[in-house]
Amino acid sequence: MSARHYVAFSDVSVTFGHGEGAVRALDRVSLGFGRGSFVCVVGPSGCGKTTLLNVLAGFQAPSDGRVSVAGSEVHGTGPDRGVVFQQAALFPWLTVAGNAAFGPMVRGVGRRARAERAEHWLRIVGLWEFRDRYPYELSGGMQQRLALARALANDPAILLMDEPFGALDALTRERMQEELQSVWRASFMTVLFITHGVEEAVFLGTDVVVMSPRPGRIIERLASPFAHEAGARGSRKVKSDPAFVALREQVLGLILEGPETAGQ
Amino acid sequence: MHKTPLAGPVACLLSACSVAAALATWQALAASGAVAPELLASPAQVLSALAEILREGYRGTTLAHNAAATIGRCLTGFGLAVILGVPLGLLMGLQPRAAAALGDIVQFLRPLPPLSYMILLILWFGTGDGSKVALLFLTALPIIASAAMAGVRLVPRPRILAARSLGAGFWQVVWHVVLPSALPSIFTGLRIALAAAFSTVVAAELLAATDGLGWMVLSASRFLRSDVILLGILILGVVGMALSRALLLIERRVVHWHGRA
Repeated sequence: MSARHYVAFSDVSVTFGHGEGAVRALDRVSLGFGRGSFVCVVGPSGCGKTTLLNVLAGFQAPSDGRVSVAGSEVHGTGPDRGVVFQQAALFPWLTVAGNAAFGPMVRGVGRRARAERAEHWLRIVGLWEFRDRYPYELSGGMQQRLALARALANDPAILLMDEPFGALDALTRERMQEELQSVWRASFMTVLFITHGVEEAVFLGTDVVVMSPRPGRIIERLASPFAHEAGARGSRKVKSDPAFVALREQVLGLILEGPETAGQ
Repeated sequence: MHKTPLAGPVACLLSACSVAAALATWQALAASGAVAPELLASPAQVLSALAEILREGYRGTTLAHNAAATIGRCLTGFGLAVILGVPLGLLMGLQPRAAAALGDIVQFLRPLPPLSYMILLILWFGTGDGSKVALLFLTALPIIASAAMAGVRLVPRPRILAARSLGAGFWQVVWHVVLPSALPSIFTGLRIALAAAFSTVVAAELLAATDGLGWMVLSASRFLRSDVILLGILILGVVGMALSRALLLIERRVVHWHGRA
């Protein structure tokens, strides 16, 4: 993928293990997207979508190929790329405010400034009144909102989310999707969002990337217009729109049957 | 079947009942004359021994001095073991090479009965506090180091990845994530180590000492003062309980999230 893309995976392969037991988690994957995109990656388990995120996050070095952000190659983690995990992975010994201020704290931002940063995002995700509580006093949805606020308090250019709403109940998940979308629309953030929920991907993404397992490959990439529409029309209206349903079914077909048979 | 422990007035009442029953059995046994008074003093005699020692001291030493000597030795050896054992365990948990280099030494020391090398320590450091503090240090150190190492290995990986992606460097991850994550495990080790250090200090005082609660019990046995022996045992039990209770209170304050997150 050419360097003109803001984020570019170029022929990225990741192999775990050696010899006969080796697993090819990613096989020559190329993918590029521009600043401000909301890229949703869907696929069955084992298709390498989490590995794709880990490579961009800097948790996993590619066995082959390269990943670049704004033209420079990714080596290791960096605060320009915030991560939200499926399990919130909060720091249980810190208060809600302490968790939200963690990124600025380790980066040496002054006490006053980081408290303001934390307050700003805690207000946006609706946790400000819980600022002195501890994570174990929060519900699953609130914990995930805190994980989001913690990542955003670092002002990342790219937000990486690995099935962040997978462990939430349906109602909470829907609310979280809407909140995430409004945060994204109000920012210039680029989002890479991993999910196995097809509806979630089509609803949230400007781009939907479909992957298939063994070896992990990208089989299709589709543009989705709904991410820009949902704010004006309301999410339930969008999700029952015939065009939305058609795209959802197309993506589902790709996952279930592969690129050869889908859409015929 | 797992059942929640009782708390409140019911628990207090039940506990008071069994203590009263034990005291009554003791009193009945002493009063029956089945056991000679030199071998088993009655509760009343123990109480008067307590009054006597509080008033006049025991063989030139006060009770407070002996209790302070025992607790001081215990906490000094234990404290040194905490200061060295926690960083050592963290290092072993973080660095597989350190674990490979030191793991066997720690695992050799851990089950070794401390009294087996006490004689050697007395030869090296004399019969004073030095040999006892060294003994307690060596008793507590491997327990604490093992617990800290286990704690490091149990840190959830996403927590470390989250901190790194937020911009934390290696030492910031160690200080802000690994250490607090390992604290519940470290405190479990501290409780075991403190109990081991306390029982070892008393045993050491029974072997060679010039003061301390263990020495008081040993000395009383030479004069067949079973009232003082029993008094010493009771005080030792109460002090041991108080030490472990104090540590538990500290633990609950420090690792308040444990078991809830």
